[in-house]
Amino acid sequence: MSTRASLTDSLKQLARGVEENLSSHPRPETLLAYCGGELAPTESAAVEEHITWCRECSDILDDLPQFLSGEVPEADPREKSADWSGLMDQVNRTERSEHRPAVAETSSFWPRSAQLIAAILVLSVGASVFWVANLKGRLNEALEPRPNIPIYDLDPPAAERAGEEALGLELAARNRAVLILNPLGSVPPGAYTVRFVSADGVTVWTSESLEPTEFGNFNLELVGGSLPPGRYRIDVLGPQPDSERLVGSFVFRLLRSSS
Amino acid sequence: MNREAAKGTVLPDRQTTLLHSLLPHIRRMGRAESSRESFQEVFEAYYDRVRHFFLGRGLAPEECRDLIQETFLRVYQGKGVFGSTGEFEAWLFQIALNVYRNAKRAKYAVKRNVHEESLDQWMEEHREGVPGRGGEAWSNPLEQFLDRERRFLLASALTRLPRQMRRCMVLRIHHELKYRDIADKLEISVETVKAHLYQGKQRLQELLDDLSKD
Repeated sequence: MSTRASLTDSLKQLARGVEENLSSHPRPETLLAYCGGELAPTESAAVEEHITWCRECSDILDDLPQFLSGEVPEADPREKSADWSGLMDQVNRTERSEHRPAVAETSSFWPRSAQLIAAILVLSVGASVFWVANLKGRLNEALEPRPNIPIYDLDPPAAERAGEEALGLELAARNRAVLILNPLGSVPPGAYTVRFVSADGVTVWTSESLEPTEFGNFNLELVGGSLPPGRYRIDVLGPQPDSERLVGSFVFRLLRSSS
Repeated sequence: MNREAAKGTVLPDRQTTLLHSLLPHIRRMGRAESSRESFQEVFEAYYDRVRHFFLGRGLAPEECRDLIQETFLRVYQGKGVFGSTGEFEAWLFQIALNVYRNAKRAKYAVKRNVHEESLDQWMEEHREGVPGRGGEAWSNPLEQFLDRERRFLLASALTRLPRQMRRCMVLRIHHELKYRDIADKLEISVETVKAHLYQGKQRLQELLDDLSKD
């Protein structure tokens, strides 16, 4: 093998290694701004350096003008129609689940209780009094109604425009709700800082150990009664040690509970 | 890259009319008294480009269709208010790219878990270091060291090349682009690309020789 050929092979290997180790990619809005020539020279140079090594982002950037202009091949109308039907099914399912009242988990009552009763019968021979009492406690727990925890998706305010109200949540004291924060850009792994900021700019709660899910978003559980009603902004920053890099801001309104 | 086309200022007449008539539907989509009809108009208008975007990522058709649905579901649930079709298209692109990256991350997480299990299992079965992927790493430390050393020297040499020369080399060797494509991407002539590639290799070799003497 000539020296020149081995240099090419080594370069190829190195480039693949660099590409595989890229831990983050430009956000979609950065790619859009780059495509439109709207980035500052240093930011533009950073994007250029990234797409030198990252074939995927380079391809996405190459496809972006076509995406924005719409000059793309037409799809098969039957496929489009089938996808529309599938989409409507999903929309209907989602809207139905949002309106489903909280119900106790009674549908699995008989199978679970049958299993527990069978376990008691099998283990009652030689079982301790303390262990049987513990199982009785669990049976009672299974009989109590357990409300579903509502889940709310929050997107950054770029998706909301002036005049549109932020999502309103009504949460009774001690009830819980899950907030899923969906940042627009990529989210490298690590520990993030989250801040709840009230309408008058006061940070009412903060944590420095929020980790993203495998889907690149963040889950927070909100307990009713922990915050007074009002408009809040949730800022997510990081990852550590860069605690000033804003990953996303999410706005919601906590409504006064009627229950 | 045709940036003017990207901004939507140079379009065939039919396209301009189509997009202009979509704006009321895009706006109606954002209102509670919606909007399924408006949403369908928007779906019909933008389906092709979303589909083209996912196909361009090398995904299987069935996977593409799942991601198309996910994208439009987010559009429907997002229901932003937009001043122009351009704003909406930029937002749509952001959603599509995020959906793609999320799906890729999820797939990678599954693959990584499976890989780690397999490697743990392999290491358990080959505790004595029988030659194989894990065995080779243990039994050839000198080669591993030399390999790392070569990569380090090459990376150092690359950083010392002028930026455009380095880009030409990486686009040629890593992206496997033709001279014309590199020239278009970097907005330089084909002759300049060829000169960069020739001089780049010479300079890299000189730098590697110098670095290995240090």
